[in-house]
Amino acid sequence: MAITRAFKNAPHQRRRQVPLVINGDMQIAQRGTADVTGLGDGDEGYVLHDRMRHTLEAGAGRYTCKQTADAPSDSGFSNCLELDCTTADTSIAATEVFNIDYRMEGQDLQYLKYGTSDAEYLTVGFWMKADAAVVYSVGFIEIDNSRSIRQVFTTGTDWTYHCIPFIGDTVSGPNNDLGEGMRLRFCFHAGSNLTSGTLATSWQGTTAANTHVGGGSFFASTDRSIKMTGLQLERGYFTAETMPPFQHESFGENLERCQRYCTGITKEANYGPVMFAHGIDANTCRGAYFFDTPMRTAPSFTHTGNIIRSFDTATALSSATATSTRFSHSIDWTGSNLFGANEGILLTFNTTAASLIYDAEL
Amino acid sequence: MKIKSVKKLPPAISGEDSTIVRITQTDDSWWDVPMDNDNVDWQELQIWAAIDGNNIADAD
Repeated sequence: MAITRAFKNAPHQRRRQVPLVINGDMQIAQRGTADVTGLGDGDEGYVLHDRMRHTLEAGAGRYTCKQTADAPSDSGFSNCLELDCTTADTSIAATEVFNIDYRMEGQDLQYLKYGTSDAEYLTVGFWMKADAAVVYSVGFIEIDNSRSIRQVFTTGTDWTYHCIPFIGDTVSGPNNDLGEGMRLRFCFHAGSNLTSGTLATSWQGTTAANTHVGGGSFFASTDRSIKMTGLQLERGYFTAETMPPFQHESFGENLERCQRYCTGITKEANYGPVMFAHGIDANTCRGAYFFDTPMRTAPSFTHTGNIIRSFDTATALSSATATSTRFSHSIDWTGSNLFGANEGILLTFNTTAASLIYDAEL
Repeated sequence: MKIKSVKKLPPAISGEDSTIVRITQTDDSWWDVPMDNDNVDWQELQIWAAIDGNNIADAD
């Protein structure tokens, strides 16, 4: 009886301690949660959802990015990444492209044994819902050796689970470092430079023309929409029937893993503290922020909205980074005749929306 | 990034080399980017700076 109970209560044997994809449930959006409209040509980067990168060279096409409270019923998901086409583009130039990327560090992929005869399959799983049955493509780019593999899939108008296994690359693999080793790329729109070849269904040197062969266009009409959630990657060959269940994390665990790549500090209350600083002279003080989670690399920084010296609500301070490291970041804040040398100062938000963003993304 | 201009920021300690640049974008938003080869914004900036006519201005 005791042995039976031991077996019944044995923990589920996970193939990996934590999911390879961070924020696959689209819960974390440190850069903001309000819809971002008018995205188009050149609007490249991270928009709302942490770790989900938009890559765009889209001519006239425009779209809105949303974090939407929609997901397959009984799936355990609450949110999705939603893309809505707002301006169609049916005259597609050769160079046009619209991708959503998930970028991974090379050091996190060594267990796949790429570049050896034992290279492992990697299976992509995700839920998607679209306005119509449209063929899009998905696959990997191995960055360090410029190699690629692709597959196409067809969306449904209801939430549909897609499960696509990719064979491992026995020729080469990502470097064992913190740089981008591999990129999972969804392609939703492409010009002839990316469609005129033969789809790269086996690993090969990256050839742009073999990327989105037979694929449709997200910008075909303003009816186009895509919702995606439950993005997961599993080592091994799986089908929709055998794919291991999505490894749900707590919101806190998910956020902590995202913070290796982005740390966002947003005003939640009037005069909420931002950081301590010390006065350098009458016009400048230097403050520091210490990251809860060490970042992947020294981050880029920006802030929006007003940061003030505590109680001095009239003067919005200007900022300039002094030093940036994986562990901490210092800023010189300037304002006319507000400080004294070696004086201790508290900096706070004011009464309007404001945020500090530290970005060490791939 | 839609880069309008790039300028080095003053060093953390006077007399030392700058280690940060400020990128101002066409919409006037900005990013402070460390000159760190693992930072992808700095990597992209190297490509931008290699194009004729693009310059990283010295700090004031």
